[in-house]
Amino acid sequence: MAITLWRDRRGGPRGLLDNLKSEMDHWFDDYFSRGDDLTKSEGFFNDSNLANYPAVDIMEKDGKYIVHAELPGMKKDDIHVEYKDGYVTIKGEKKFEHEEKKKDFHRLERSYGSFSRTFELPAEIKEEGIKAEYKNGVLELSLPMKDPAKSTSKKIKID
Amino acid sequence: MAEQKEKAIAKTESGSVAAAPQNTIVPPVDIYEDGDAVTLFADLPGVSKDNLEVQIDKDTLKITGKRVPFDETGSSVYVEIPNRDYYRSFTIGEEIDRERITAAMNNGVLKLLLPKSEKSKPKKIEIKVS
Repeated sequence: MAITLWRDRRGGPRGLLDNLKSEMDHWFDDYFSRGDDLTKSEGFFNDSNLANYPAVDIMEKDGKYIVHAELPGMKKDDIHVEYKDGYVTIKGEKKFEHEEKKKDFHRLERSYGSFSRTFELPAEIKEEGIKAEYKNGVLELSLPMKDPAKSTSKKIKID
Repeated sequence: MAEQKEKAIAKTESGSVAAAPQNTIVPPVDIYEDGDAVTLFADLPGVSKDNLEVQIDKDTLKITGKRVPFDETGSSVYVEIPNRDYYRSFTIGEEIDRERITAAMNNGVLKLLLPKSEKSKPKKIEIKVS
């Protein structure tokens, strides 16, 4: 197969770079010109794919479930925790702190936007005893079991 | 002036992972730059102010965050959070004024302000009309 010279309409690889640069510029402009829609993450930070749902640990201890969710940089009021029919939902929105368009970005790795995560706990929960605490960017939920004796974790004996 | 800005960019970009201590996580960061300073935000959930260390060694900035230790007495039902500390290092350019670097820790997010030294800032030259 013969190798042909790569040319786009602007002529050569340089044209390609210019094209990419102007696309990036347009993209940044679009993103920032949205005014107070900044917090609605469509496009680049497309959170409908839930790329940034919080990482979660669930642990059982002393007849309670302890849930940790990593949610750095949130305001307590922006985190919502619900318990219904055995399902725990953690949801909220991480707002973009910097609305200043004058600054240049070198890196934007942290995730923003709305998140929602629902999971079911193995045992029934005593709803009145549910506690939640937000410390050091980690949300900690404490959910007491209705019947701790029925705890699902069994010690397995090794013969 | 465009050249100068590019230099600052090149130097703050490298997050050297090669020198990282064993078994650490690289925290995600946001880095911004304007005429006065470079601002860095790092997500370090589980790290309190006392467990955070920010070090400057010549032109290397190192961020080390130790997690609040995991409670090992319970039994895990589901684990996603890695029980590892955070580490990341960056190269910073000479235009950053080391003496005025400030760090603040809030809800697991580190904000580092790296101000540029006065003499490296672009200066407006006044044109007088005679």
